[in-house]
Amino acid sequence: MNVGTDIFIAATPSPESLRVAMAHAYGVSEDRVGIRRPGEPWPNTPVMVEFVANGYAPGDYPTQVLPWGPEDRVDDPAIPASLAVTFGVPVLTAGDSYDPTEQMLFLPDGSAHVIFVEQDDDGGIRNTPEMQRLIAAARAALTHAA
Amino acid sequence: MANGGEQPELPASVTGTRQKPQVTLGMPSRTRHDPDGIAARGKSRKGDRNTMIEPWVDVRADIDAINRGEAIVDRERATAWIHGRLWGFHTDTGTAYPISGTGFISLTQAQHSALRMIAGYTHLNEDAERELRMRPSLTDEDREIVRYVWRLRRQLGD
Repeated sequence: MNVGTDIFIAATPSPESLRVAMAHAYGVSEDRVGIRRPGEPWPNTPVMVEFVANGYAPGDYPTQVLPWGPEDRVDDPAIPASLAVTFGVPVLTAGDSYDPTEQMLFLPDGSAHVIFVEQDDDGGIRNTPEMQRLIAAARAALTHAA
Repeated sequence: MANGGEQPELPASVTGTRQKPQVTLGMPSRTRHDPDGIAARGKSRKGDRNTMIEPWVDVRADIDAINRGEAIVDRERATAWIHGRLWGFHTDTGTAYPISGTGFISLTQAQHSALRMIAGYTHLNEDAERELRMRPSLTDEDREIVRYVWRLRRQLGD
């Protein structure tokens, strides 16, 4: 079992809804996904979702989780992409570069963008003007499609 | 150490020529690369790209030397080799970040997440040690690296 990169979600889903969404993202049944908070026993499931610091972060991305699972899926961009569509909110994760400011922004319309953003000293991530523009464009595209 | 004097041998993987970078480099993010900056809510990166800088490294000397044009700089890849260390830099802001070399510790995602777990307990106390032993995907060697990096923190006495 491997650990992936942090996933920041611009929403506060309940642990149960997160478990269901992760099962959907991984394409496995819901009983194959376990949720774990600090201090709790590790669930005996092929996919585990660890809440970082109890999961709640300041800023525009209040939920921070770490996925644990099989090596070929743990950093699969399809996972955060699926979460963005399922919850209908922006989702952030690390980019492929050594540059720590480079991150991937996944949007509810299914698009993904390389963006540059720093985590603030309080652990929060705030949308930059460029991110706000991308999020607004995705919302407009979804509204237009509807 | 490797902060001055002769340059260590250039690894084959390092590219570029001795020149100034296209931007003036600034200091790296303390919260990302300094063991003192490890926080429970820090952000991990893929693979071994969670790099810590050991406290003895004279970061200012490296950055100043790069800005004086003394480093092997690859402007296209935005990297600079100086004093046995490979730095990357953001071409817009000039913010430097460590990649590899003497005094840089590349952490795996599992090691980095374990350090953040300890930060959540504030100290490497009994509870944190128990968590460290329980944590998946860590070998005994990984745990030793995690303890070593945690103890590099200058602000804590544990």
